[in-house]
Amino acid sequence: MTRSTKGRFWIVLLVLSMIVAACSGAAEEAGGDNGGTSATTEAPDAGGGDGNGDGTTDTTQAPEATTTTAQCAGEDNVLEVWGFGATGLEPGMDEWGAANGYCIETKIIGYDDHHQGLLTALAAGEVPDVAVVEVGYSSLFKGSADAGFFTNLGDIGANDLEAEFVDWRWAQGVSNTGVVFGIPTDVGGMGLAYRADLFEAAGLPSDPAGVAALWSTWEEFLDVGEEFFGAGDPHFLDDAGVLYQVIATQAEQRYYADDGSLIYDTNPNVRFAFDIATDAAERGLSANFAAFSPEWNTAMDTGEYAVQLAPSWMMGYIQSVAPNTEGLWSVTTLPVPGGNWGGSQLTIPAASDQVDAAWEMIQFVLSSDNQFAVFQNNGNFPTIEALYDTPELLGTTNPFFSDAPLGEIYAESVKNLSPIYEGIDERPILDAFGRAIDRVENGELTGEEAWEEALAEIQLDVG
Amino acid sequence: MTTILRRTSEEPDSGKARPRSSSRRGPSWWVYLLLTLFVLASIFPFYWMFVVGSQDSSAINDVPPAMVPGPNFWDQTLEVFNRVDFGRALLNSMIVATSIAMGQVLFSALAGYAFAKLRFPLKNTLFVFVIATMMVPLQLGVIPQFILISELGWVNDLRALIVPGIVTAFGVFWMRQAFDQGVPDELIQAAKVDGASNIRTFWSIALPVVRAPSAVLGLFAFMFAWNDFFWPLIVLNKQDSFTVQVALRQIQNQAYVTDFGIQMTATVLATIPLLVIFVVFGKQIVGGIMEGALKG
Amino acid sequence: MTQTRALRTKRKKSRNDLSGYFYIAPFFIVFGVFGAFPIVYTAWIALHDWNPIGTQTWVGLDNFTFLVSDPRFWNAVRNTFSIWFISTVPQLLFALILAAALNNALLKWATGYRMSILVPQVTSVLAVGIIFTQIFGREFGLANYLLESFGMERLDWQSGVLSSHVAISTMVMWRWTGYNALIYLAAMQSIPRDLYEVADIDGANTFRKFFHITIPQIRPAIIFTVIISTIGGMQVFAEPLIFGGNSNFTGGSDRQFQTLTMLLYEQGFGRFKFGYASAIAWALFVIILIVSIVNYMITRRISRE
Repeated sequence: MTRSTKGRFWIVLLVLSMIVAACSGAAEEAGGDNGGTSATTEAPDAGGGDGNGDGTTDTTQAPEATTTTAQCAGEDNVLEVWGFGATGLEPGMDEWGAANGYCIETKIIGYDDHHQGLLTALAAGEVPDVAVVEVGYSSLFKGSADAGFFTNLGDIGANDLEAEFVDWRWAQGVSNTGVVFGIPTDVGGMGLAYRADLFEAAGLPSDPAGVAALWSTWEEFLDVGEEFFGAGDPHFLDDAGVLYQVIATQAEQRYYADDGSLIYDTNPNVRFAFDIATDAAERGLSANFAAFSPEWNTAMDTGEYAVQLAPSWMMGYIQSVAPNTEGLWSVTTLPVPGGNWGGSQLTIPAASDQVDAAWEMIQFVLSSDNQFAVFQNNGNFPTIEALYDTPELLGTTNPFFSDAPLGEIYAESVKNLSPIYEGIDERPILDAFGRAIDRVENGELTGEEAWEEALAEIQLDVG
Repeated sequence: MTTILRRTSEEPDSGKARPRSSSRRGPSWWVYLLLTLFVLASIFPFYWMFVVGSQDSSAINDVPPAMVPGPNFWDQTLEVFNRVDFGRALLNSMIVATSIAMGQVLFSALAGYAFAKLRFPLKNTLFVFVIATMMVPLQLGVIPQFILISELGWVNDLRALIVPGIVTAFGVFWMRQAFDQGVPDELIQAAKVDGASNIRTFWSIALPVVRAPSAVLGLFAFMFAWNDFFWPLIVLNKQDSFTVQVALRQIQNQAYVTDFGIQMTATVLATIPLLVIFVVFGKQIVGGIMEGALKG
Repeated sequence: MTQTRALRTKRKKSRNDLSGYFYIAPFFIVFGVFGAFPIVYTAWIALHDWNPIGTQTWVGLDNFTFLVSDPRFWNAVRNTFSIWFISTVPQLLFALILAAALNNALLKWATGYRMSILVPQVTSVLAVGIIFTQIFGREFGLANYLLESFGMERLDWQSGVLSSHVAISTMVMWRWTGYNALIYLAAMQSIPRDLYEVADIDGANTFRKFFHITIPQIRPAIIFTVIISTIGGMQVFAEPLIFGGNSNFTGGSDRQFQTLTMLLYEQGFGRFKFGYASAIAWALFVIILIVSIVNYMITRRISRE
């Protein structure tokens, strides 16, 4: 009895002392770092996405500023910012706060947690001053912008900024009745990342220009992939669903006509994107990894597939999950230019009592200078069009990606798009098509069956 | 040596308690084998959490998987504390979980006692209502609940977690069961004969008898409150009100590519206090169960 | 002697004691405000086309009529029952075996065993999810490794209906078996010794004693665990969600493991259709109610024999 009590005592003591030691150790660390705004410990140019598949790049900065709450006793100089950690804007926000006597309190949680929490907060009227809304969710929030849940930024000066931004990205932050509820933070413009070493081993050219010359249509892209990689090891592609998602954005319309009527079943480009994706799946060109799954990450590192459709923020992602592939990747343009994957808006909920300050801050962090800094640090591609012609941006390269002309490729890709009308049901429609393609990849359905099943499900769900 | 010590320490105990076993013979080897397998299956994920937490991010995808702790635990612990105010979060979680555990035991014991031992009109109807509330998926009530909390001014306030968490139908159900089976009617009657008031009978006579199931309920309430994240994530928006689980989410989402290493480090750190509680009280609780607390 | 006294006590107790309301008041007040109000509100919402940050229109029973005709709903019902069944039956059987094994005064390290089997309850869901997703992974998973070493084919656990249900049930079982075992153990501990002694004299063997004494004697505990795991099983959410990865409410590409609570979440938080989600919530409530009653009756009958 005594013996076991003693044993327990020591365990408790040990654990408690560990906790105390950890606390005090951390306190020292925090104390030491308090001076600077960015005590970053990660690779400075890491960018990336979130677990959901349509995220953009992310901050890697520790939220030092939020621990300085002691100085922000009053509520009148605090700005509450909610996000899901993909915009890389936090250092800029802190910088603005320091210069203007504001404390920035950030709450960064998971992608879905964040958007669902925002929904609840808006419904209850207990809101942050600035909220990030990702494009995957923005169509859902558009309706609430019409219902008055967001500040119409058009009323407080956003209209003057419109001309500076890429028009089709700007449109994603405007409701269908013209309420400007969000300002775009970044663009998920597209490039094609490929494993130069695997291309060489397969007998293909490996320089960006040579690879770009291999194909000029998506059909040719698949043909070349099949010819040189077959259905074997390594696979040509990671995931057919990604192929669909990107190609579907390469048109002037997607699921809705400009008048808001549903055309998902008749839009030839949607069908085309679906057919290319299921074709790739049926021919065994895809390794069938769900994007952002741990297996996908591993496969990226171990070289189980040769081609990755890659938005700008993917550069950071690859560097982070596939450190062993340094110098083996290169990047070129897509077979057909255009397309988008990811991006966010900054919004000001209508119930915020700090609208003016929040708007000042948004203008600062989305200014040309700050966006360029974010691109350099995090990889998020800017939304301000004037930047696309600057030599600094165009000259951006990265040795990890064999010094391919990243700046040029991404600048070129975002110029080729036009605004797409996005209705409220973008998400479930994309989701239904994506799952149908998945089942083709699993060998459960043919492409034709999958198309019919997807249409039936969307019909039931959306109408 | 251990065996002898154990024997001597446990034997008198079993002598005075009610007969505890259906067999006089010691268990055979296959019982030990079976139990060992169960134990290994139970604690392996826990152990592995520590293994991954002490390695860098890529270890989670190693083939074959890593089985031995790595060298990074301490560095990653510092990193966790660097990223969020983890000490504060631990304190907040401790406050919330302790309050909920104590409140839940008290309120459940009160109601459970009434349902088990007192007679009053509509008793059975009310008890059925209590059971029925367990069957409603509460998550959907989150929006009206949040509106209520914000009307009360409890957003970013730990009361938003404590007050709604303090009553559960499960607790009432559990305590009713405990009083019903653990406290003979004669005992209550005897107390009444001795002139004890109703509440005194409850507090001094009945409650001590159900100490063990109360402790079990308290422990489960504590663990549940500690691990809950859905509701805290919605009502807590400021760093100084974060509980451990909300802080964990923050850590997770700062390393945008899920950094499994640091995430697991943080999870281990978040579980340590729970483990301490478990080790300290666990023996008494499982011991309490041994004494035939929840009689069948 | 005791007998007569108990009888007398019963008679005396039969007068009403209004102070009972005082004891149950705290529960009902707090629950009324934070539990019942939201539930009632949910019923109101179910009669609307309700976007909490958009429009709210009265639609009467439309959500319920749509529900009945919605194949996704029936699919979710099927999945929920299947996962519940695959997890609950072995779980309770294992728990019984485990409890029987622990129910021996001469067992060494008894406290250690008892505490260890509760560890799954302490482990955070996050960690559990990561670990089990790993175990059932298509490419590098332990489960497939085992299948292969027994000469069987590897499975894509997620894409199959049955395989995904088995994987999810394993997670549920892992978390709850020890807990149920301790409840059974507690009940077994209090079975009067003499029952077994009489059986010994009659020459009953271990199994006979187990089925004819132990099981009937711990009946209340069995009913308790069956009800709790039914209520829990009908609302199973975290495990299938984690298993699907990427916080995906649809439960696989063919919704093959989407449970009712996942469908509820998909419609509510994923689609902002809170009216329809509320209807699902009420349907779920009715299902749980029916299943619990049926369960209660069956369990009572079985364990009485």
